[in-house]
Amino acid sequence: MTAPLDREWARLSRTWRGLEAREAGEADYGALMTWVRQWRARHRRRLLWITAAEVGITLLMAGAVLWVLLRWREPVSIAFAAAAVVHAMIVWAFTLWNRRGLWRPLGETTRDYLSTALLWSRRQMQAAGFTAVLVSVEMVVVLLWAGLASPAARPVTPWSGFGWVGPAAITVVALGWALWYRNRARVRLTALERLRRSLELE
Amino acid sequence: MDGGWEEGGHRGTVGQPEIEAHFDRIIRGHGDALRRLARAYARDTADADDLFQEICLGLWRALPTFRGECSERTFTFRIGHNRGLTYRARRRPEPDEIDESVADQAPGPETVLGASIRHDGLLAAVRRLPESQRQVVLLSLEGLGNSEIGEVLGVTENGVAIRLTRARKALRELLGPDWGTG
Repeated sequence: MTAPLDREWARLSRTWRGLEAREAGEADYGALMTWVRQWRARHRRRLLWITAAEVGITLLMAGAVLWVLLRWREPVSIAFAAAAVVHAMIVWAFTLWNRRGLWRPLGETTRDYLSTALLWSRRQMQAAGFTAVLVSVEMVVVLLWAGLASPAARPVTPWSGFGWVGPAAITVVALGWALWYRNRARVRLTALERLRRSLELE
Repeated sequence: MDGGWEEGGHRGTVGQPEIEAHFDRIIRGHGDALRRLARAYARDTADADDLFQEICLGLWRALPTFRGECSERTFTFRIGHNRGLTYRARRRPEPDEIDESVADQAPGPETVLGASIRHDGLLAAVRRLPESQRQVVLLSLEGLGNSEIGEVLGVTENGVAIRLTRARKALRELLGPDWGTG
């Protein structure tokens, strides 16, 4: 830059840096620290609840499978328990695979940050698609089992008494969630791609 | 974005008192600059306050990962800009990026700005810039050199220089006669 341009830019820079002093006066950073500490406490509680919920659901499912096995020691119950275990393994395998390489600290460059954000959105869409396919396939399997097998060959489960309302409700809720989640991820992906284009980082 | 992948967490061996002291030092040193950055990204003052808090939170969460591979200022601005982009990705795009409350006061390029609204005029002009130009202008106005701006954004020094030239030209057109009279 030439000297006059440098001087002009320096004047603009001074104007810019005077902005906050004029607007906010002396900032209350003590209050900010208090807010951050409160947020940290809330965040810890939230993580604790999420972990407790994950462990709780896993234990509940394991308990239900175990109960079916102990209560009805028949081949069909063993098949049901095996199906539940396979289901859990598929879900966990996909979850772990889908999360690979996603963690990045906030202190990365804008280019790296946006790349990870885009990857995250794509993975969210994959997760939604996987959920939709999985529940659809499982519903078809359950319906075939129910329709083709004799009553004796149908699995007895803790929720058998509710008929097909339970599985149907789970399928509808899961498909609805997958649709909503995919749409949200798609909107975010579009916004991020627009940002990347406008930042000329491609 | 929505937590998850940007959850830095508090890893490493850095203790809580050290993190608090480091955070306090950064906020006191760069807090005003981060406030200005938030105002340039946000739609209005209320949004800017929220964004500033988010930036501070991001800084807090990322601090334990700071290993001194770049300067503290570079690290701080990276987090500020990344949070700003997250904010932008969350909200709906608008044809005119200007804060209406500022736009009411901010004259167009053809108008001479009065001294009392010079700050708002500059803010409005910066908000009008395309994303890629706004980023380099914000960092340059805060006193960062091209090399440091490149470290924040992840682009080459030459790339920064090209963007900055275009940005200054655009800013000059937006500010009109007020260019350089701050």
